Amino acid sequence: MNWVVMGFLLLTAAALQAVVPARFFPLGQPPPFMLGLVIYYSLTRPVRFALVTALVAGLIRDSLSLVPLGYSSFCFCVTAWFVNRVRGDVFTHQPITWVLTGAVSGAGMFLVMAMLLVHAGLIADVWQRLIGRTVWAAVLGAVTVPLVSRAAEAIDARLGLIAMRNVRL
Amino acid sequence: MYLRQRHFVPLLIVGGLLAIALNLPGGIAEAVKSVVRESAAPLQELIRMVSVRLREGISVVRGIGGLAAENREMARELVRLRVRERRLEALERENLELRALLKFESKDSRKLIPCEVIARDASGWWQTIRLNKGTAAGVEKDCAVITPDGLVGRTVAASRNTAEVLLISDSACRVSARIPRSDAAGITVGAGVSERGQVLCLMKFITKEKPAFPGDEVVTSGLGGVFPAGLLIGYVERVHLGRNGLYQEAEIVPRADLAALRYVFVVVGDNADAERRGGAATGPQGGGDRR
Repeated sequence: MNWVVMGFLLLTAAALQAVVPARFFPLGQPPPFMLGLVIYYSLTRPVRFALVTALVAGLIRDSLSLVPLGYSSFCFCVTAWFVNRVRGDVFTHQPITWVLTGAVSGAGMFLVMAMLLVHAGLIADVWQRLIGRTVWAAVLGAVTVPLVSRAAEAIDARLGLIAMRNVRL
Repeated sequence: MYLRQRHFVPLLIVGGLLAIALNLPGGIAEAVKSVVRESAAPLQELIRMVSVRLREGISVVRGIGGLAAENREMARELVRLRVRERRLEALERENLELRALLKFESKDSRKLIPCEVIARDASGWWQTIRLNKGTAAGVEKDCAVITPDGLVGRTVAASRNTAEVLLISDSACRVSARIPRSDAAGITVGAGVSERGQVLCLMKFITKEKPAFPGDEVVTSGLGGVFPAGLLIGYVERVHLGRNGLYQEAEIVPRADLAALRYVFVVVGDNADAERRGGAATGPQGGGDRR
């Protein structure tokens, strides 16, 4: 059941990420709904589940854009592995944890992806407004990840996949 | 040591799968992407339909007071368009007669395929849109995409029921262009969004002998084989000298509202056109028109 819910949530997040009107978001960056799910599963599930989520999320994200297959998976997998490693040292159900993890992951993923795409010769003008775009990626991560995590947590609780008492609906 | 722990096996498996994904040959990677795009398309269409209905509902409620004025304005517009259509019909007849006299054969065998925009780039790295029609409807790679207002971009990938369009505002999209007033030629490239939130393109390599002025119309030149000649791109906003001082550069504001696209037309050529386009480069870095 966990896998089915994860697949459905990833597809919905991908569709939402691609449907949100661009004019609502400066610098052309859509809100990272998929990153939110990857972080949520990394903080709440075993490492194998988190890594598979990251792999699938990346493949979906790359398929729905012009990014070469595997680039986003790589970034998501590194994020998932790292978050899963440090989750024992943080309060996983505190909103501040989601906010900080979202901000750091958003900015980190933006920078790593920028380097990968520049290295592959696919983009050239990324260095313009790099600081601004990185900060914006961090802000989007900080805002989106807690919201997505809370929504995923609520869905999991409704479906009986996690204990209801942990969730503040 | 971490690698000795039980995390090692899943890490190894996922790492292997990742390595395979990263090293897939171009054709197979594109096929995998097409399958995912096809699977996600119905969901995207559904979400888009719901959001459009929601927006329409809100705009209807908001605009109830202005319906009468809007109706009057549309009636006036209808009259204007009918008069214009009659004039154009006469001109078309005259044009056909003259062509017949000169024994000109019509070489324009292009057709327009109406499509709906169902999504935008999910990564944020390129300015692309996804259409709800693909190869099944005749949409191919490297076709021009337009709206009644003007040029929008070109298709860079097509699966059976979807197509990806690179917008002219993306820096990877290059279009061979000209300014009809002065006959100045150049290449437009996407320049992103200005500080005022306006979508911009930059027309480069305009010779100093043929000055461009704000307000000048910019159209496609037809060179390069991807974009047909005469499609309106936009209007010159500002002109300045390039960095090397040899050419002028003009900031162009696209005529089509690229931030709010809903319906577009894909310009599909005949087989000869497709063959001419056969050598076009792939991917976003492939550019567009080649000069």
